[in-house]
Amino acid sequence: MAELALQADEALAAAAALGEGAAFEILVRRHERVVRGFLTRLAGANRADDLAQETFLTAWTRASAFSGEGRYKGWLMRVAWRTFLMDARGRGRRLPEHEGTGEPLEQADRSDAERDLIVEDALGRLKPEDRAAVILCLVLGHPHGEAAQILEMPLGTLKTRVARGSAKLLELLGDDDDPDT
Amino acid sequence: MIPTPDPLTPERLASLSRRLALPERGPDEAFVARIRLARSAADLARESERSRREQLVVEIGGGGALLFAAHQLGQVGEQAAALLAPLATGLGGLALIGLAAAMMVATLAGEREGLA
Repeated sequence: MAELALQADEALAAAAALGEGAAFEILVRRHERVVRGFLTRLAGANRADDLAQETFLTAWTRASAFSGEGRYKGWLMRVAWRTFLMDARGRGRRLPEHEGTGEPLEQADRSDAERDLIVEDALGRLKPEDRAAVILCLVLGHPHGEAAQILEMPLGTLKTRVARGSAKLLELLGDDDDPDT
Repeated sequence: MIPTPDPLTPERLASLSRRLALPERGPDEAFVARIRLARSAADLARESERSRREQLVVEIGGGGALLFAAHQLGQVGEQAAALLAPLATGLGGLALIGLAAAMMVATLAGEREGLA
């Protein structure tokens, strides 16, 4: 087990594809924070854990689908994105996409939890594709090329979505990020 | 004059990225355990689905074998009938001649007794 924990994602993924549960469990432990964070920002806290569970189950049952090309983390995020899309389509709607007034959201004198809700609300006002592009590139630090592969869109489209989403978020949240001011 | 939006400078993007950042934390063992349980349940469901499929294949195979056997029996029956039909016809003819002869003998015997 200790030996397994030292192995790279790709080696663990190959072992998981052969049905080795211990190897897959290490992958879950390594990536659950990022997958759940991505889905929380994407679908909201209420749906995130169920979607993350579905993502990991798909990654387990279809482990052999990971070809070894690119990073395992990127493949996992693509599974998470598809899981989110299928869930949204299954519910017969896109995720809430408020029109918004364009007015900055009030943030003064807020607790961390309230600030989180404001961020979630602001993200909810973006189109899901814009939201996903911003989260992947700005929050999770994926290179543009990898994010484009995860979201299965052309690189130029991805860059446009990141720029549009960021501009909208700055407009909604304002520039000031110091909680003490 | 229409106000132009502020450009997306690296500083503004970095500030936005800080505000959207996920909280730092260690692995959530409860979630890892939840996935382990879900995985076991999925494996069990998959296993039972596979054995159900295998059973279905066996049942379909058994049904097919029975149908084949019935078909073969039917063919054998037809052959037997084709073999026996002329024989039965022949036997039927013989039986009729025999019956007629027996009736004639019985009639003649009756007349003789009457004369006597």
